[in-house]
This record gives sequence, C-alpha cells and structure tokens, in this order.
Amino acid sequence: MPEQSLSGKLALVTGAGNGTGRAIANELAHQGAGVVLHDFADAPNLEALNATIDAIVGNGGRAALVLGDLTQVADCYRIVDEAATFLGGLDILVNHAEIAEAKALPDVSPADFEQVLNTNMRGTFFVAQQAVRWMEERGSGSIVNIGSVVSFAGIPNHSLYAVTKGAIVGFTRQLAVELIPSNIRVNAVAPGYVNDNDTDTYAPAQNSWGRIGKPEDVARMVAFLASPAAEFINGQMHYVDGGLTSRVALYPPLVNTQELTQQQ
Amino acid sequence: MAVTGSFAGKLALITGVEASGIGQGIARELARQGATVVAHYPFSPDGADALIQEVEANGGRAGKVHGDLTNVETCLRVVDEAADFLGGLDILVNNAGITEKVPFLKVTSELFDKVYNVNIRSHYFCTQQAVRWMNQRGGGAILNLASIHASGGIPNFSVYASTKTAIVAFTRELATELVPQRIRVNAVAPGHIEVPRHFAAPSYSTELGSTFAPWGRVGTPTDVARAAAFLLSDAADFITGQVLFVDGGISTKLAVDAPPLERV
Repeated sequence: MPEQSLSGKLALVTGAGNGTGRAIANELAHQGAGVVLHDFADAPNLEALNATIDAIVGNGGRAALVLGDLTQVADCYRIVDEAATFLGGLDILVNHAEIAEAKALPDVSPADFEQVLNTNMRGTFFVAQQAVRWMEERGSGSIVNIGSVVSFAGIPNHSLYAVTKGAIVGFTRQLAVELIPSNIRVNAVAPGYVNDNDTDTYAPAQNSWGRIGKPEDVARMVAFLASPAAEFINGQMHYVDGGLTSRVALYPPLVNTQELTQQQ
Repeated sequence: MAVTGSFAGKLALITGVEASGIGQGIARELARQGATVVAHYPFSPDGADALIQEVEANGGRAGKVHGDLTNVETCLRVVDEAADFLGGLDILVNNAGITEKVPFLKVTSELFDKVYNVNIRSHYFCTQQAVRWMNQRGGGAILNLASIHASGGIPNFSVYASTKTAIVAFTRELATELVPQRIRVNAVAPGHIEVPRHFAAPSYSTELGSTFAPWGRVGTPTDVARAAAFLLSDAADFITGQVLFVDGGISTKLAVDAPPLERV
C-alpha cells in the first residue's frame, strides 16, 4: 500500500458540491484523511455529493455531509462544529465555497454585493475562525483558501468577484503570520480556468498550457499544502493556472470578454 | 488666484476628509494644483471647513458633503451632491477607511461588517456612481487607498488586511473594465503615515515611528498627497491598474530581522 501522507488527518472542505470541491475531498480521502464535505443549504449537488461520500466510504475511508449557509455566521460555526464532532477534531480546512459571477460594474446591486462578499469572504473568515478553535485543541493545523487569477490581474466584469478574491490574498498572508504561535499554516491556491462544474465551460485556447485545468490539478495542490510535506510553506498564493499569470498580456485581443465565458 | 497647475478645470471628490490625515492632504494638494474639490466628511465638518477656508482664501472654490458611507444610498447621494456642486466629476479619491486591530479569534461579525462596509463597500458604490458621472465627461481618474497591509501580514489585522488587498484586486479589475470609458484606476498604498490618532497609544512617539521605515522617518499626509496627485494627473495618462507604495521602503524590505512570534 502506498504511503498516505494525510493518514489520520481530519478535514473539512466547504463548497464541496462542484467538480473541484469533490475532487479536493476525494484527493484528501485518497491520501488517508477523514473528510466532511460541505455544500450550500439548498444542496444543489446533493446526488453527486452522496455518490462521492459513498465511494470514499466504500474504499474504507470516512466521509460525511454537512449543509449550511455561509452568509450566516451562526451557520458557519455550526458547519465547523458538526464536521469536527463527526471527525473527532479538525486538522485541515479547505475554504473552497464561492460564488463566481460575471457582472459589469453598473449592474452590481447592493444585494449582489452582500451575497457574494458574505459567501466568498465573510463565510471564509468565520469558518476559519471556528476551525482555528478546534485546531488549537489539536496543537496544529493547515488552512487552504481558494483564491483566483483575478486577484493577480483584472478580467473585465469581475469587479465584485475580484474584491472577494483580493481579500482572500490579504487574509491568507495576514492569518499565516498571526497563527504562527498556534502552529497553524495558512496558504491559498489560485486556479486559472478550470472546467469544474461538470461542464466544458472554457475553451483550450484560453490557457497558455494548451489545455484547460482539471479539478484534479487543483486538488493535488490543495492536498500537498495541507500535508506535512509543506510544513515550511506558509502565507503563499499558489497559482494552478497552466502558466496563465506568468504570461504578460502583450498581444492583440484574440477573444472578447463575451467569448471568454461562452461554452465551447 | 489664477487657476493654473495640472488640475486646472478638474472636478474632484475626496471621501473621508478629516481635520488632519491623508484625505485632508490629498484634497489640499489637488486644490493647490488647480482642481475644484469637494470634501466628503463622515463626522465633524471641521476638516472640510478648514479646507474650504484655505481654498477660498487663495481664490479657489471648494465644497463639502456629509454622509455615513456605510450606507449604500448615502454613497450615491454623496457622489451626486458633489457632482452637482462641481458641475460634473473628473476625479474620485476613495480615501474613507477605518482600522481595527483585533486578534482573529476575537473578531465579531459586527466588527467585520463595519470595516468591510467602509473600506470596501463604500469604495465600490461611490465608484459605481462616480463612473456614471465620469461617463458624461468622457473619462476620468479614480484613486483608491490601499495600504502596506496589502503587501504582507501584521498580526491582529485580519479584517483590515483583507479589505486593503481587496482594494488592490478591485483597482486592477476596474482598470481593465473601464478602459473603454477612458477612466484610469490606480491606488496608493501608504506605509506609516503619522497622524494624531497614533499618539493615542502611550508608547508611541515620532522617534519610535521613525524607526518603522528603512528611510528613517515617519511619512506625512503630504507624501501620500503628492503621489496621489501624480497618479490622478494627465502626466500619468499611461498608468492604470497600479499600486504605488508610499512607505519609505517598508514593503520592499524582507522581514528577516523581525522579532520571532512566540509559540503557544
């Protein structure tokens, strides 16, 4: 049997319903962790989540589901408490839940702003806060936040999403420094274009590497950062983007922003 | 006074102008260089009144507008009132901001919302309304206030640091989105700028503050104001989406000689 680097570790993955969330939970479980998968209160992906959990349990792992609304701080706390109670503690938190929506600046309403900010940033903040309480009982921990290439460079019509993902960058660095005394590491993964919603949303031409990211590309990086192998890595933003952010945008516009979000 | 200088004929709104501090410094500098300015103030009108008095004594014109920017409707009203007074809008300086130093586990959702509503939401919706006015003028320039907290972590600033990094991503995103409207969007990131509230801490002195930056002195609102004026002026017509650190070298220094954070 191959070495399992997360053997005995206890993990919560928020926003585990979509392709990337499920892949993260699968990878953590594959490497030996017990996992709790969170999804939004209306459980939009309940069937796929249950199938993932059944598969993990069928392979001899531990997995469970918790639903909750990240815009409510009380629910953030409950999600973490239920997960840690099921697992018997908490070592790893993956803050993956987010709303990603393209909207031009004039069209963003205050209600849109609340919904996206409270899910992507405030939810992340207070889930992490409660998780840290559990991790301090275990004497250590690892938090992985999910950022985005949009915190590195602008993409038109993503001003609200960029606000939340930029906030994730500052939060990650900040918390990494602040939680050193608690022996908790905090990193972030910034995916580029990933076809994560079980659909082929993006075209290959949108990526320098010549293919679109897969959920497993992101999941492997998350698992590495969560593992003891990354014990000296703290406060960093790790791009999993096929080189997208390394390339300077010095070329005539090949696609307009409409085409960027069009289906193949 | 004949209206000369690089901002002759320009119409500017600066949010968060108090009796001293960065907002006051930027407003005075823009006025000194010929802009007609409106100072938004959140609490006491003393700072705005002093500014108006000085500008009028020099033969210029300046106005003030009051409002609590934690309310989105107030943001829109403040921008509209300023533009009505000015007869349009060319320049918006999103200076309003608050700092809270609280350990991560002690942050409440009320505190989180308070800081986000001023530091991010007010920037977002003041900008949204300002862009509508700038579109009528055929272009404009926006300056956001970031911070050295957007370049690295300082313990107990988890909320503040994440808002300021959100500003960085917002700046970059909006710079790309508003290219067709010929509106430039940049940010300044002040380091340790000495303002009266620093002296509320009994241990603070200018001598101590002078050790914070490699350059060996405290920053002044004028330091930030000169950088702000440059980025807002036509001299910076090819500069958009950038963050200019005005910090005496703090953000470029690696924290290798920082005292270790004690482990629990």
